[in-house]
Amino acid sequence: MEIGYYPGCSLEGVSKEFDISLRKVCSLLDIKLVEIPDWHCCGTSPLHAFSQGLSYLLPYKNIQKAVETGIKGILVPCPSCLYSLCFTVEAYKNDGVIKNYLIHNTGFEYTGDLKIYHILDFLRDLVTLEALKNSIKKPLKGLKVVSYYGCLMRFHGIEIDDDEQPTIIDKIVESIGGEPLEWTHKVECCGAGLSITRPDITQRLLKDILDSAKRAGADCVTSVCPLCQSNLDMRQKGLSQASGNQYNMPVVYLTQLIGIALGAKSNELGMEKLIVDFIPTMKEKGLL
Amino acid sequence: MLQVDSEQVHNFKNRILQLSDVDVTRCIQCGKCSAGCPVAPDMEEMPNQIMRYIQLNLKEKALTSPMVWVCASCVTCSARCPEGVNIARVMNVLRRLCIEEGYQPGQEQVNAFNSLFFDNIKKYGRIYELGLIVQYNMKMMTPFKDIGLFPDMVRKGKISLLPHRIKDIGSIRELFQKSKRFIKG
Repeated sequence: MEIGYYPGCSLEGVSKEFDISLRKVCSLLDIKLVEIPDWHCCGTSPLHAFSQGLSYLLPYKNIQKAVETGIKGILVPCPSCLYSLCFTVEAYKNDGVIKNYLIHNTGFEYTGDLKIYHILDFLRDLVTLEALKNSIKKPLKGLKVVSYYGCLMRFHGIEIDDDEQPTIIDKIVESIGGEPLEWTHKVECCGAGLSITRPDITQRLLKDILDSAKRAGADCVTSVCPLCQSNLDMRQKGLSQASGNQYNMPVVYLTQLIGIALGAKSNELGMEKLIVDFIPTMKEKGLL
Repeated sequence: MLQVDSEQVHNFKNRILQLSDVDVTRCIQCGKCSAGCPVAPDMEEMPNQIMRYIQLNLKEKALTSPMVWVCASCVTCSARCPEGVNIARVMNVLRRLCIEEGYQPGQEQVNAFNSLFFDNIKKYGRIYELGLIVQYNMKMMTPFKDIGLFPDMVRKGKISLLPHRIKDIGSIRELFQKSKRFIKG
């Protein structure tokens, strides 16, 4: 199988291990990723606050680059990029004024046949959980996982499942042999977007999420968003200092968990890049 | 006696409708947006109050409220609104209008960060994380903020020291030049 790939800026920097593990998982599942040539930033929330024109033009120009490669579908791992791309396509399809504006400014007329996937619906619909299950070499037996969807997954134009109580990540965790736990903070915002400008608010939000994961008895949190993961992982040290309680909850990309189950080595999944070390948990569960 | 012009009193909500296609008159003040808003506990005004300001034509209050600027764009409000009001989209329109009309943003550091982000994409085509953070910290005169994260990030290769500039930066800059703050209205 072949699919286009739009990594987004975070996967080149602070969330490199998301990119590394996603590429590894795809190669193990015999999926060829075709990176969109010379892709650019989708604009994300800071630009949406500035300019409506750019909030549509930047994603639209990326869609143009994808379509021009001749590819029929693209994989977009970052929920914020995904949201920008999907709302642009939606506006293009439903709003003549925006459609004309986009065509006029880019000279490109989109015919609407590019499928946009996040890794969740990609795994469910194209790979299928059955096939994933059949490829497992090392089931994550006894690993208790809380699935963290984050805020944007529910409002991005792609049908995942329930808005408030989604289950798709839990089902994927189950299909790779892990034990998904019920918990209270599946879709609560972690405040990553405010981590620079209002770190006080971000700290309150991530404390609530990590406390809830701990209460549920989780061995780790799994995330599918580069902003959520880096926020929850990197800022535990600061939270420990500020609160006087020790925070040491591994926050692992879902693609890293899948990679382990598919038999990849931890260094092929960028495990060493996680700030809160997941290796001791892997050792304890016999996954190394 | 208070004189109310029956036409002008609708000006602001009509302008918001025109710019965003969101009809704020649908808001029934149930407060569900505020109940679910992650930043609301730290704010003095709630999202439903911002909607009320618009209904009541209180333009300046709506445009300069810190709530509007601290909104995390998590879209929980829009996802939960029983009347289908896309509150998060209105928040973005209020921010754009605030800048467009020269009002003082209710949370200056958010606007400062956004404008550095804007310059960053215009310059490189992709986000240069390190450059953005350093520039922001210099602008805010807090040069050592988050310095504690830096050693781990460098050691683990999580941050690029140099920017990735896309090849065809020209066409991106052209979009910046041509683009309008508002497509409609």
